[in-house]
Amino acid sequence: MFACLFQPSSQQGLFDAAPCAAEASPSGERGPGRVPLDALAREFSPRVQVHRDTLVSLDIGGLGRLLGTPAEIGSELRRAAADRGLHPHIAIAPTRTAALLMALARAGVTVVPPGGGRSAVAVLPLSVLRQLPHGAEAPCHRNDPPGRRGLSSSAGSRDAEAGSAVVDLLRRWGLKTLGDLAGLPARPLSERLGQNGVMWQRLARGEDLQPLVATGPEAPIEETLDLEWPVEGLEPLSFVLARMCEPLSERLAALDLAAVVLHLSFRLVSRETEARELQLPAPMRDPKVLRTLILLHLESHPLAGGVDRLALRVDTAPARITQFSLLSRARPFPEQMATLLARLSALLGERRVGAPGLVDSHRPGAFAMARFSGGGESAPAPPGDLDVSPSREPHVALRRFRVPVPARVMAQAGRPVRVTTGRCGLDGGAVAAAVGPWRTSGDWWRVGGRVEGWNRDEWDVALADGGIYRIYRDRSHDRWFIDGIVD
Amino acid sequence: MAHSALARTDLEALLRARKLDRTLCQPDAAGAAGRTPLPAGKVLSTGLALLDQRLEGGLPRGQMSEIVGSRSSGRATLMCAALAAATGRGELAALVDPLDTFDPESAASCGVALDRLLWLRGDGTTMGAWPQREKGQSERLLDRALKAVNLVLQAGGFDLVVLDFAEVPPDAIRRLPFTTWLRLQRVIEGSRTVCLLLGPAAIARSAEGVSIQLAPSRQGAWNSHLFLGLEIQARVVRARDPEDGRCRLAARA
Repeated sequence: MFACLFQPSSQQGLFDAAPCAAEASPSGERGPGRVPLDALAREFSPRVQVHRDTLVSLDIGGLGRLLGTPAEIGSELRRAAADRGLHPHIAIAPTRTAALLMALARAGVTVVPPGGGRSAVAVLPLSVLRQLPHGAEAPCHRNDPPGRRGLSSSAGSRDAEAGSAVVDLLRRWGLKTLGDLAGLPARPLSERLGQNGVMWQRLARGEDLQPLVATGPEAPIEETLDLEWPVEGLEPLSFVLARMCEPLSERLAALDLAAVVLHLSFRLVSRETEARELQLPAPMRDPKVLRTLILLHLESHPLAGGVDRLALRVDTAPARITQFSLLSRARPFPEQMATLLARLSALLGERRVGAPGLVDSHRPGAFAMARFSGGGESAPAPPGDLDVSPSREPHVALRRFRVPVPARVMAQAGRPVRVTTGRCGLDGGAVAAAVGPWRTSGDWWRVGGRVEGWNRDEWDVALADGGIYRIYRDRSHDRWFIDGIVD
Repeated sequence: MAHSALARTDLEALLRARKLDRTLCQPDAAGAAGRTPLPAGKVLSTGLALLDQRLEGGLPRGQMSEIVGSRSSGRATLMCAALAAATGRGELAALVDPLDTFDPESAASCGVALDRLLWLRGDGTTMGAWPQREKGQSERLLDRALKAVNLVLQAGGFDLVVLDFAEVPPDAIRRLPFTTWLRLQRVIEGSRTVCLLLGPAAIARSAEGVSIQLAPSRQGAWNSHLFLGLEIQARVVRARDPEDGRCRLAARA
């Protein structure tokens, strides 16, 4: 069973005005004297969907054991609303759409018995569809800042415009009530209005197009701590962060949410404020992991001085549900992986940790570093160890000097005959075998940019020291380099 | 006889208490019963059938093994083959590369699934070769690499962790305390992880790990126009196996 609460505006006609536009101010903020219904709804159910500031629906399944029949639940809702100075329309129905329609159309408390949704809404005028946030495609997101709420309202306005157009069209057809629309044959309706027509008809029958999408409370999840004495260094800060992360994590757990972005604000003793933002690779709420990630971030990017005020705010997402498989290989948890990567980044540097990637270029040695994700959670993993059959002939691998080593090369008839370098361990010697040259060039068209072109003749040479090297002559500067070792 | 059996049981219990049972108590099945391949879950295939045959299935899991050889003897080729086999099975692998000489393009052509490879690059890039000038730079480089390996092994979840010291001078490796390797071995003992060391000379392997010793390069196979590939001669050495397993592999360019 679902309940819906609708608080009509005093200035607003019930079915004639464009509701969404009227209910949200241009800035997206609530008007004076408006009390959100979601707080009221959350006293009765944790599964609340906020469609607009004045329209919420809630799942009251299971509430009967606590409060009694649907009629008693409705009375209880009305009493709780009256305590807050609200007098919303309250409807209880087997489907969310039926509850929405009844609440939008009828004042007071309306209870639709199970199985009676279609007949109950059939008598309602077509104009109620104008107010319906059909399909709830544009619900107000739980963490939307006020600016985003304006966007939701504009999406609601678009819904209302679409609803108005359809209602006008249906009225021209001579239809007056939802029952008239619900009784039309589906196929001709689809031929004239497309799938949208079928969707409107399903709404007119009180059928749900989408399940209820529970949204969280709008209050930002944040912790702030003023310190009597400024702290410096990571060790004392870790205790302070533990005090902040633990209650924050408890709040997230109570809401079944997890953090995806951490916004940190440090007020320094110099009265300056340093803001940091940590993007987490996966939703997580373990306070120890959060604290460790913050500390590792601060280890890599130290603060300029002592801190006397900290604020930690999180952007949230639904908590992760892990479905383990008997057939695929277990992956490390994202929390563990994120902590490992943060530790490694603190040790080696952020740009030196990750997954190698290829780039779309013929430039020798070109590569990219991507964030290591372990091939994604859905990466196929064969169950057996021997599913990949061993081969007989491997490919030769190359060790590449990231900065090519300058070499002195003696050449006869254009072919290298002796290669030496000034580097320890790369003594070189006479060339025992050589093949080449392989000429490549590229990026020569990028004149004056940060990317330099290349123009080289490559040789594979075997030297007397036993090594096989890839060397090249830079044709632009007529200089030789060792590019790598065939190993 | 009963007395000696009791003493053996006591000794094994003591070793178990010290977590040394895996290293010292297990009978040498290979030595006693010939070359019986170990169960697939106990070994990690190198991706090369001939070498796997010599290794009795592959590199033993939960142990440190090593690939040693001179320059161009095929160390990186075998490493990439093992990485390709591991990542091809959907396993995660990590490569600690203190001198930053890993070539992703070459590895991709060897079949390594790069998105399952965690690459930890040292700052040897600016040196081009082993650092000589600045005092302490080489020690810092090795120290960071060992810390990185330790972190990865302790985190778990990786089936193959490679530490590439192939271009590090043997003297610098020998200066590292031997307890370093014992500590790393204790971290992976009993896990599914294979820690694979690459070096110019024998570094360290656990009692049940293997050394794959590569013969010096014969300067590859060439014709008048092309470098055709490497001929890799591998010798598998075990602590308790007096017989070495030898095999010859051809790697194509």
